[in-house]
Amino acid sequence: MKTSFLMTLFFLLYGSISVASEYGYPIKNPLTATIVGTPDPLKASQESLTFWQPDYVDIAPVDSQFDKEIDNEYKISIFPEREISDLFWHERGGLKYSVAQHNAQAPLLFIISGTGSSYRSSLVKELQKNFYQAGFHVVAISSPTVPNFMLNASRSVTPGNMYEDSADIHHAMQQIMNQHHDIQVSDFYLTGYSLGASHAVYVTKFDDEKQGERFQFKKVLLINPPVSLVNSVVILDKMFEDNIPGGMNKFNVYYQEIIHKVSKFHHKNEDLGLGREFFFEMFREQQPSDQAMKAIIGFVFRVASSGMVFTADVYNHQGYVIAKNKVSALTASSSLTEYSKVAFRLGFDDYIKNFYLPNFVGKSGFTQKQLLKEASLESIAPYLQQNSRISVMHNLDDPILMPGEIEQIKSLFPGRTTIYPHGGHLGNVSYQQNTYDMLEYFTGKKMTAMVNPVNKGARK
Amino acid sequence: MNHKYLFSLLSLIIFVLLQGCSHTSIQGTVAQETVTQEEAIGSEPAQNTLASVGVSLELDSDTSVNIYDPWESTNRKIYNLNAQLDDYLLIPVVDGYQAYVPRFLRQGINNIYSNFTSVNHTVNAALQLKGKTTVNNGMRFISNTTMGIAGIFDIATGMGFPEIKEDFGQVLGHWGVPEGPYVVLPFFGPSNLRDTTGLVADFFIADIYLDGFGMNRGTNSTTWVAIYYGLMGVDIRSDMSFRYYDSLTPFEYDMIRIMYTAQRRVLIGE
Repeated sequence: MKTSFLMTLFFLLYGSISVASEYGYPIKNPLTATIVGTPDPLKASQESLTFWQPDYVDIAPVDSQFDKEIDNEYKISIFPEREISDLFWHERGGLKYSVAQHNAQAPLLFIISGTGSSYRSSLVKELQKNFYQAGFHVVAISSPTVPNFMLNASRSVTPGNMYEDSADIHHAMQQIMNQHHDIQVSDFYLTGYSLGASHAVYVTKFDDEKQGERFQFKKVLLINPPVSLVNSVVILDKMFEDNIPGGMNKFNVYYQEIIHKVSKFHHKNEDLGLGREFFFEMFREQQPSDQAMKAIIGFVFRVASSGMVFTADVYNHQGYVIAKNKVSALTASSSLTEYSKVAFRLGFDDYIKNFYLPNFVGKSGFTQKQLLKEASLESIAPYLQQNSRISVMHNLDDPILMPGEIEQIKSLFPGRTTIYPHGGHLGNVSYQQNTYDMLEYFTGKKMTAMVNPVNKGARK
Repeated sequence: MNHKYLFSLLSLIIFVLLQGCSHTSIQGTVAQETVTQEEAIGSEPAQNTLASVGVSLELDSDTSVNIYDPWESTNRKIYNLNAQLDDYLLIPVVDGYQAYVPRFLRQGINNIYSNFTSVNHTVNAALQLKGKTTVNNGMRFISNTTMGIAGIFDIATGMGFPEIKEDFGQVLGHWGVPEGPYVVLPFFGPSNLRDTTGLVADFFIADIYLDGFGMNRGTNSTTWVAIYYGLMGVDIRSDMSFRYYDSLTPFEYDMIRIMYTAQRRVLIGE
């Protein structure tokens, strides 16, 4: 149902798809790319990935009659003493994560999800499947911004501090490995996308500087990371707030108009139902404006951040959106409608300024300015410039970056960046060439021109 | 004794029962009341409120986002009940179904159910005076029942008769029946009073074909009807990617309420 809801909104966003020049990902509008992603036929096929597939990989053929997941889902209790409110009854029992495991010694890859997405988001599932086929055990972990992680694995339940969030992730990773003694690991690898890529950096740094047991990651790949958390958050906040015609107070009116549009289109095309096909068609016919697409991207981000803000507030009794004396009265069936409306109006940026910073200034002994500076990759420039194990994949047109930030990335990771000419924010991650590039990077095994079905180009 | 509307009737009974016990916690646990010091002292309003963020009641009165939900507390309980039903029963069953029943067989089963329900789709299209859709759905049933061998194969789609779903809730909506309060039904999930009524009516329409196959008569009728609807539930659930509490927002109930209502309004053309 969630998918169809997003599709309902995404119908607006179908932009022009043009024919490729050198780099074959076809969607040139970064906003469309961000929303539409990669069409199925342009993803790497299971067949093409056999090039990287070691003998020990046991994977069902494409035409199998039986649908079996390659991964298993688990829960791990990291703070067994912690009391989770009835309101979050479904998050009790521990941090959820998934493992795709081989019955052989193999490298292990950790994947960290981006803002508001979990270990079982569709992008993670895709990466997991590709790397599993290429012989990796794959452990997928949710973003520290989702309620399940916050309540079960975060010490402060106040996401935003790169160092603390990443230390929490690292701790969870170690606990997970302790729980799965039977996985035979040769070496550890790490990747993350979007905010998860930023976390991957700090997890690596934490691991490098830590005493005692370490992962010693062999290679780390950052997929579309923000340079400055604050900059990207402000961009995403504004994408939503600045693109609702008439402003935020007119959101309901705008939403009503969208419903009417869908309704009208459905009336003319009843035979399409209300599934994927319907929205794909509507997308194509309606040619949404950039403004509408920005509103949608911002909307999805806002749904994620409002839930995060509310969870942090309930746990920490900060009186940010729910009065302090009302928290203990919340039950599994309390109405949250009023709080959802309030939280929906507050951006991630507001949360940083009025929730995260006031909490961390006292605790860390840093000033607000220092804390904000810390949230930028620039603050650890010397570490990044010297660390040849960390590489980056990014897009020249990624809408979550400020002008000039792509240049900053190149100088932070000299000679270790692959910048694609287009693809928006994560739109091209599943594109076949991107998949091949990732596998080449992690396995060190270059696909030969004979095998590679796509033209390579525009690499930097 | 007819059993076909057993499920919806059962749903309504559970709904009414739960309505009466609004103080039982879903987990059966006593709410852990952690009264912190601030709470004992502070009763000041939250830093951000509806008023402070600029949501005025006047602007907030439209019905696209504000869905009429007078039974919200009960609805939320049933929502949580459904989530547990999913976790402990439906999803494990569906996972097993997909892992151990070959795809061609699942497809055949799906086709058979879709063929049976095309009777509902035909009747409901006719009741809305949708001529073209009625013919389409009727042709679909006839060709799939005959050439598709009792609906095992879907040949109608290839012949230009695609599936166009029409339920009795849409019929009611078409003739101006308002949607009424939002309702979460046990097992079936989000609905409203109008669509719940429609659901019961659709079970009556199903009599037509269950009768035709003699499924709801004789000594074993209860078993047959249970198997029929049980497998149908598995078939429908295995086709849906939705998972409870997977939207990663504590406001999932609110989101689903808005989405369900929007989807129904689109279908009915309101």
